[in-house]
Amino acid sequence: MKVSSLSGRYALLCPSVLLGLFLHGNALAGPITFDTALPVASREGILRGQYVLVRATGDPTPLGRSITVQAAPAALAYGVTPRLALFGIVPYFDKSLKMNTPSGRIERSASGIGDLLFLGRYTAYALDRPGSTIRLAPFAGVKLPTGRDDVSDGLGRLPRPLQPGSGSWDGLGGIVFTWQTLGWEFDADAGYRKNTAADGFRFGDQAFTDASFQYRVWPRRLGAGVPAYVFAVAESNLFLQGRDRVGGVPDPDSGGTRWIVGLGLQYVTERLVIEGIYQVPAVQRLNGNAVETDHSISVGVRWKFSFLSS
Amino acid sequence: MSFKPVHINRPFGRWVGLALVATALAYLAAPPAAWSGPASGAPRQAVVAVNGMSCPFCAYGVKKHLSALPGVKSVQVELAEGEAIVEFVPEAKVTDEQIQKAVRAAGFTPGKIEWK
Repeated sequence: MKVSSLSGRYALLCPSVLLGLFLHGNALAGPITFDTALPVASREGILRGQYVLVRATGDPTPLGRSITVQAAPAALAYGVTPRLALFGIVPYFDKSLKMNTPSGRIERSASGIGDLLFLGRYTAYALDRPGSTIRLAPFAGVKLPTGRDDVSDGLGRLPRPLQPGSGSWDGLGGIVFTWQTLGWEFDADAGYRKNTAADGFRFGDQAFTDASFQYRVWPRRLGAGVPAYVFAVAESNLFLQGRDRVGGVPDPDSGGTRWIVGLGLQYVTERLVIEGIYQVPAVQRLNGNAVETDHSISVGVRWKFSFLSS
Repeated sequence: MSFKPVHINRPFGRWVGLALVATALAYLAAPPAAWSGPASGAPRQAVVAVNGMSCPFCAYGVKKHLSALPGVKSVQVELAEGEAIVEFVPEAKVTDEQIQKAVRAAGFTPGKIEWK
C-alpha cells in the first residue's frame, strides 16, 4: 500500500480532536481540559503552560499504526473588564506516526508551532452568594493558520493531520456554565467548531460537550486567610467529529465519536495552579479504520499576575 | 499736639508670640481632623463582604483591586468568611462606593461594608 494513499487515515491526529482537550481557552482555575465561567479580574492576566502526551495504537488494520503526539500549548488570559476576558493560545507540537509498509516499519514526524487561537468570553449571568457563585458565559473564537502545513519528509508532504498547523481559518463558539462553592466546583460546556478548507483539505466540523467536577480533598477544614487547596478532579469530554474532506470528497476513515474520561489532581494557591490529569477513552466509535486512542496525560501550571500597582 | 508714647508690655507680647508660633507648628505637623477619620488617629479598617469569592485563585484579584485604592495599608482576605479586611492609613479618604467598585472590578459582588 502506498504511503501517500493513507493521508486520510489519521483521524486521531486531527488537531480539532486532540486540541479540543486543551484549546478551549481555559487558563483560569477550574477544569483542566476545557474552559470555565469564573471571572478574570480586570487588568489581570493568567499565563498557562501545559505538556500533553497522547498515545494511540488501536489500529484495526495490518498497518499497525502507532501515533504519539506531544503538545505544549501556552495560553494567556487577560481581563478586559470583569465580564469580558480574552484568551490567546499557541501550541507547540511534536507528532509522530509509525507504520508498517512493504519495505519495513517507517516513521514520519513533524514538529513546530501550531495554529494560534484567539477567544473571547463574556459573563452573561452571575449569581454571587457568600461562598458560592453560579455563572454562565458564552465564548467565541477564531483559529489562525499560523502553523506550518507543508512539512515534508523523504516520502513527500506529510498528511495534513500530521502537520503542526491546519492551514485553515476556523471558528469556534459555545457556552460554559460554572457552579463553584468553597468545597467543590462543577463546570460544563458545549460548543461547535466550524472548520474551513485549505489547499483542498478540510477537517470535519466538531461538536463538543465537556463536564468537570472538582472536590476539595485538602484542607478538610478551611483555616484563616487564603489556604491552598488540593482538588480531586473528574472530567469528561465528548467529541462528535464530521468526516474530513479531501478535494471535496468525504474521507471514510475520519471522524466519529469519542468520549474521553479522566481523573486528575490540582494544587491551587492564590497565584499558582499546578495540575495533572490522566485520560482514557470510554467510547470510541470512529469511522472506517481510524486509529483509536490509548490514553493521554496532561500536566500544567497556571500563574496569575496583575497590571495594577498597589 | 503731642503723641503719648505707647507702652508695650514686652514679657506678655513674647508669650503671645510663642503661643502663636506653637499653634502654627502644631497645625503644620498634624493634618486637620477632617482629613484623618477617627480623632484618635488609629488606622481605619473596613470589613468587606465579597460574594462569589470561593476559591484561592479568585482571591488574588480581590486583593489587588482593593490594594490599589488610595490610602490602603494592607488587605487580608478571609476566604472561609467570604470577606476582605482592608486597613487604611489615617489620612485615607475612601468611600463605600470606591470599595464596591474595586470588588466589582475583581469580578465579584460586593456585600456589606463594616467600618471599624
